[in-house]
Amino acid sequence: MSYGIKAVNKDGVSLIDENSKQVHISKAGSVLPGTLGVTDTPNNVFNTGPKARAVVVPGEVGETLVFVRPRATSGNQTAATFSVHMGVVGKGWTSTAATVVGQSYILATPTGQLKVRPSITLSVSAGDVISGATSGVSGTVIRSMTGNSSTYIHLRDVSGTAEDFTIGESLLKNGSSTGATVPQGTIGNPGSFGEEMYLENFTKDYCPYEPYPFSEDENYLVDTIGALTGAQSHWASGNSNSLPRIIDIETTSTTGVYKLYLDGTWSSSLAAGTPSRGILRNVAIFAREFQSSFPSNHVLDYRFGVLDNDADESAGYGFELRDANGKLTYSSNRVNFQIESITTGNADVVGNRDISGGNPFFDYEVNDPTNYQDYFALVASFGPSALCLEGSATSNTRGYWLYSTGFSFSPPGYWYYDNATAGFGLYISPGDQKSSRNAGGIAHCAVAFAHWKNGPQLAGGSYFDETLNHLSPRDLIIGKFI
Amino acid sequence: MSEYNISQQIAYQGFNFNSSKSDVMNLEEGAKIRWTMDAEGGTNAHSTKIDNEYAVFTTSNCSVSPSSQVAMLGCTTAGTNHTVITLTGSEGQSWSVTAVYTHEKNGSTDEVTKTFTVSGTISNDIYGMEIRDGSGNLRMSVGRRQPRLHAFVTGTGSNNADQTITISGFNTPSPAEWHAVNIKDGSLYRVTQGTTANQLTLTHIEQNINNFFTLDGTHEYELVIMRY
Repeated sequence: MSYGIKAVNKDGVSLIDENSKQVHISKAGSVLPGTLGVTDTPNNVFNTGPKARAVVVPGEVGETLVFVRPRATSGNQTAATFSVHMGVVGKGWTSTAATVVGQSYILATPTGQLKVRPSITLSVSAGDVISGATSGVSGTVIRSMTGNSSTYIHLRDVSGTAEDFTIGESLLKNGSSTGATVPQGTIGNPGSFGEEMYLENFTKDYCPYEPYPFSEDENYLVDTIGALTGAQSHWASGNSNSLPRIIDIETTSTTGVYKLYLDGTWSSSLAAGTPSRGILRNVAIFAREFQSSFPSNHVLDYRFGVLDNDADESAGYGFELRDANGKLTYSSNRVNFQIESITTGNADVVGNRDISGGNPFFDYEVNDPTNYQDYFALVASFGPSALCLEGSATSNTRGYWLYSTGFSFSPPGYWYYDNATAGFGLYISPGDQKSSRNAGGIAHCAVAFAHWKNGPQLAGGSYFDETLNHLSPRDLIIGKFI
Repeated sequence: MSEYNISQQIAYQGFNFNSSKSDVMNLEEGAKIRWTMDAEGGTNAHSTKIDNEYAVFTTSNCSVSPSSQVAMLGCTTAGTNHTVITLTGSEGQSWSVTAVYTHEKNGSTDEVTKTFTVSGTISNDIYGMEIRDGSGNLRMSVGRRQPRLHAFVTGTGSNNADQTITISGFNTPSPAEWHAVNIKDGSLYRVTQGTTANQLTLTHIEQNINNFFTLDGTHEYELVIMRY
C-alpha cells in the first residue's frame, strides 16, 4: 500500500517515503545490563553479578525499533560494552466490571494480578511464590502494588490444578501460611493463563542461557497499546469491532484497575472476569560481556520506537502524514532519531574462541564529541552470532562460548574502545585506536556474553576447536534524538 | 542550534611544527555548523602547551559564535571548546573560516601555529524537505536520515535450504537505504541482504560450516524491514 509523500535529499536518499512509517518513542527507561550465563553452577564459573534484565517492548512484535546508549548516572562517562537480545512474553488483561453498551472502554486488570483481602498486609518481594492452599494454584510474584485499602500482587507463571485461585482460600508464601485469603468478589482474577517468557535460545543444546526471569519496567499504560484483544478471548463478543484493538490505556482511582479504550463500542454487555486473548510482546534483554562488570556508575538507556498515533507535542502546527486508515505515519511533533552516520561492516567472530588474535569490528567517530552523551545507536542485530566449542584433555580450557554482536561506546578522554568492561571481547591493536583521545567513538563488535565451562573431554594431548557463526554484514547506525 | 558538525584533527606528530587541516562543506544559506578542533590526534597524552590558547578567526561570508576564548577540544579554557559557524552569504558565494592557534612547542618556549580551515560554496541545491519544531530544531533535515519501519515479514523455510524473500521496493534505489534483521527466536536463518532489487536471501546457518554441528532450532523467520 502506498500512502503519504516522498521526500528525497540531494543524494537521492529518501527522508520520507510512501511505504515506510516513522516510529514514535512510546517507552524509555534505564536498565543495568547483566550476565546471560546460565546458572550459578560450578560449570559456569564466570556467571557473576546480576542476571541480564528484560524489558517489555511495546508495540506489535516486529514493529518496534530499539535505541540504546550507556549513560553515567554520576561522575564521568567511561567506555562501556554490551549487547541486546530479543525474546517474547505473553501479556493479557481480565475485565473487572461488566461493560456498558455504547461505551468504548473496558475496566480491566493485568492478567495474573491478585487482590489480597484489605485487612491483611501481605509483604511480598519479586521471586516469592504465592500459592493457594486449596486450589494448588501458584504463581511467582513480579511486583506488588498497595492501593488505598488493598494489596495487589502481580504474578507470573500461574499454574496449578485449577485455572484460578478459589475465593476464600488461604494464601501461602513460599509454602508458609500468610493469614491472607482470596476475597469474595476479587477484582483482578488471577487469569486463565500465566505469563511466560520465552527467549531466543537456538544454542540451548550447547550452552543454555537465561536472563533474570522477571521483566523490568512493566508499564501497564504502554505495553499492550495497539494489541488486538478479540477472537479466542470473548472480548470480541458484543463489540462492534470483531477484533477490538486497545488504542489507549488510563489509570483509574482504583489501584490495579485500568481503563482500556478499544477501537469499537460495546453492543452488548460483557461480564466481569472475562480475559482478553494472549497478547504477545517482545522483550529486549540487555547483557554485558560475561566476565566483566558494567561500569558501576553507568546505566543503559533504552528507547523503543513503535507505530502508534501519538505525538510528543501539540504545537498546533507542523506536518503530518497519515495512511489510508487514518493512522499517523509521520509527524513533525515527534522527537525523531536523526541519523548522523550509517556504517556497514563485519562485527562477527571469526576463527576460534581465542579472539585475542584478532576479531573484526568497525566503528564510527561522532561529529559532535562535545555532546557525545547525546548519541544513541539503533540496534539492528540481536542475539547470538557465534558459538565456539573447544575440547581438550583438561577441564581448564574446554567449554562453550557464546557471542553476539554488540556495541562498545568510547567517549572522549578514552583512547580505546576496549576497557575493563570489554575484557577480551574486543581485540585491540594500535590500528584499532580512535583517531584521537578526544574523539567520541562507537564500535560494532562481538561481545562474549556467556560461557559454559564444559565440553568434550578428549584423550590426553588431543585438542580441537570449532566456531559456528552467522557472519552477517552489520549496520552501525548512530544518531541523536531531536 | 547547530545543524551540522565538523570535528577537525591534526595528528600529534605535527605538534611541534606549524600544521594545518582543511575541510570543505558545501551547505545551504544560513546553515549552522558546530566546529571543534584538536591538535593532538593520535595520542592519549595531553599537552598543557595548548591549554588556554585561543583561536584567532578570519571569516568570509560567515560568522562564528563565540568568536573569542575558543580553545581546542579537551583543553582548559576560560571560554568554550567549540564554536558555531553561521553561513551569512548568498547562494553561489564561497565561504570560509580559518582559526589559527599559536602555542609553545613541547619542551621549548618556541612558538608554532595550528591552522584549521573550513570552506565551501553556498548552494541551495540541497533539496528535499526541512521541518522544524516550535523551537527551531530541525525535525527533518535534508542532511539527516531517519529510520522507518517498512514491513514485518514472517514465514517458514525448508530444512537446510536458503530462502529468497520478495519484498517490494527492497534495495531500491540503493541497498544503503535498507536493512533487515531476523528477530525470530531460535531461527536458523540469517539475513543476506545482497544487492538485488525487491529481494533478500535468508541463509541457512548450517551452510556456513564444514563440521559436524547440527543446531536445534526453527526454520521460521520474522523479518523486520527497516528503511533509512
